[in-house]
Amino acid sequence: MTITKQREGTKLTLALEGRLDTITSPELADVLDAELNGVTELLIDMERLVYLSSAGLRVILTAQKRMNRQGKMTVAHVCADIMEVFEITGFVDILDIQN
Amino acid sequence: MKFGLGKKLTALIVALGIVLGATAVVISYRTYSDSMMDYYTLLGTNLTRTLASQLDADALERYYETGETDEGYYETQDFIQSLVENNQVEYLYVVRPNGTGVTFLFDSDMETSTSGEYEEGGYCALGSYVELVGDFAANLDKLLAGEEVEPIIQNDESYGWMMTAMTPVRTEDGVMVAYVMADISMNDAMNTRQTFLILLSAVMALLTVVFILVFLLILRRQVLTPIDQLTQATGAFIQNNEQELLQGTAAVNVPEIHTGDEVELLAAAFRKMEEDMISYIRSLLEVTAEKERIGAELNVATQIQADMLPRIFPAFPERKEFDIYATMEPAKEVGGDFYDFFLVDADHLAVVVADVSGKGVPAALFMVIAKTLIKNHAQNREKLEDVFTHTNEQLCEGNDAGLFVTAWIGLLEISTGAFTYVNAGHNPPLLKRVDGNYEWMKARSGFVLAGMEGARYHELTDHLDPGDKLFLYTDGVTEAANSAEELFGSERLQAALNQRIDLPPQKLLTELKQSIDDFAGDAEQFDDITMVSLEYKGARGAENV
Repeated sequence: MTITKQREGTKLTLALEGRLDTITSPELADVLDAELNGVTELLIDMERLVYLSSAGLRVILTAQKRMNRQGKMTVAHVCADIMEVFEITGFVDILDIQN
Repeated sequence: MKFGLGKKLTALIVALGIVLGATAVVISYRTYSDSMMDYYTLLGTNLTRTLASQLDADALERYYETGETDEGYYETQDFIQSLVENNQVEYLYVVRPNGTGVTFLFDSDMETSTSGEYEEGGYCALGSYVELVGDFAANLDKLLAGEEVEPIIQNDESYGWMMTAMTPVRTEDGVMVAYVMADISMNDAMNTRQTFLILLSAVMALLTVVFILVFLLILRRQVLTPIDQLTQATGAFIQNNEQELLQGTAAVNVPEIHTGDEVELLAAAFRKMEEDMISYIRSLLEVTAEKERIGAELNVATQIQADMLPRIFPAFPERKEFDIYATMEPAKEVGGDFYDFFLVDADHLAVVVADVSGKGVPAALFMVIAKTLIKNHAQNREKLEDVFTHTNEQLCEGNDAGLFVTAWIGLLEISTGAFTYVNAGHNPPLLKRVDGNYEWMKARSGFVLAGMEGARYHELTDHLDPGDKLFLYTDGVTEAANSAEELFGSERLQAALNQRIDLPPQKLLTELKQSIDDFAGDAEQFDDITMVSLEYKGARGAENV
């Protein structure tokens, strides 16, 4: 998986590419740990993300919980397969998804 | 080993010995030769000079011109003979170079008879003319000019090695009238020189051989033998000490070597290496033992986890109203999937399937808590939606690891077929109506358990008729991948179910597992695979179906 970071002031955009699963999700967790300090606006761009497993969901959930405390988080460009995952798991109710 | 150290060094020393010996022999031989020549040259030249100084140039000129002897001639002849007798000289003679040869004036071999007449014999009488040959001919110009000529050495067949020293006799005006020549035999000298050469070579060769032997002895004792010992000790150290190494009783087997040089350092380094190796293996064994212990404990954990799931089938042999079967195949030692089914009371059957995010021990521990909480709340006869709402609250407390559980629970009223269910973010099950195919029970889902405090869950109601079948699973089924990284997927799952529409629960799950395995091939199983199949046969049991 490839993670592209872009920072403008207190806004952070993370573009994810590839698969977010048991093997790759620790990478995203590390990036979030390192980058989230002082961020008030987090945008996760999933345009090029093709697969999301429950381990990936866990990292997304952790990020959402943290951003609930320090600002807001948006998920953008979610493909149909991943949207289905969000719907099945009820994540649609807690995430701000903008397509 | 093609060439040993011994052979290489011996070859080197032999070559060195030959070069040094040859150089020594050549230099010694030449020095010896030169000094020998100097000695003989001095001897010869002294003699010829002595004689030359005694001769009367005018008398010699007269003898040459006239060829006649007189009183003085015989006195001179006697003097020459006495010189020959008292010196190491073969022949002493006086000649007059002219033309391309010399005319003899005196010859020491000439014997005078009592009558004072010449005796005929092998000598050269006054006036005998001899052509010059060899080195003499080469010096003809110098001889005719009366110059000093270096001694000439020739090897003559009849005389052997002979050196001829010569001194010119001049008149007061410096005109050459004759040469005094002395022949000195060099046979002895040459023989001595040859003996010297042979002896010197022999001594050199002997010294070289002795030196090589001593060198080899030292080499063997100081280098080769210790290296052989090191090779033998270290070469099969592991193989020969396998048992001792495993038992921790292995000892260093490299002998202590005291040569006081690099070899001793090498041996010390080898000893150090073996000591380190022994202690390294010992700590490796300890670590391995520790890992084995942890592995054994993990196996126990796996067993405990498996034992927590109802695994005895038929689960309710006395209940003919339904048939249920379930399997769970963990991907790692301990998994995060679980299923559960239990009678809440005599008329209500609860069915649960759930998947904890993540894998391994943390997921398994979380699974145990989640399973226990769900069952406790369900058996308290709480409303189904409250079971999940309460479970969620409790799981959220102190969930620092951020784990969550997707879960699905259904409650069947056995007597009526009334069916209620709640979904907390889990894959929706498939339901087969008695006359239809397996279809997804698509319904709005609640959020995952332990995901968010205060999450609310809502129950849905449905109705099962006799012959209806329910299939529950976790995403390990649809996300089973083959070596081409294709997923088994929901379409394949649905098709596989509909190909086996009439199969009872146990047979259905066994065949489904087989088709998943066939699809995955050699690819590793990444996620737990859990499946539950429930068949409702109606209140009056199997006889109605």
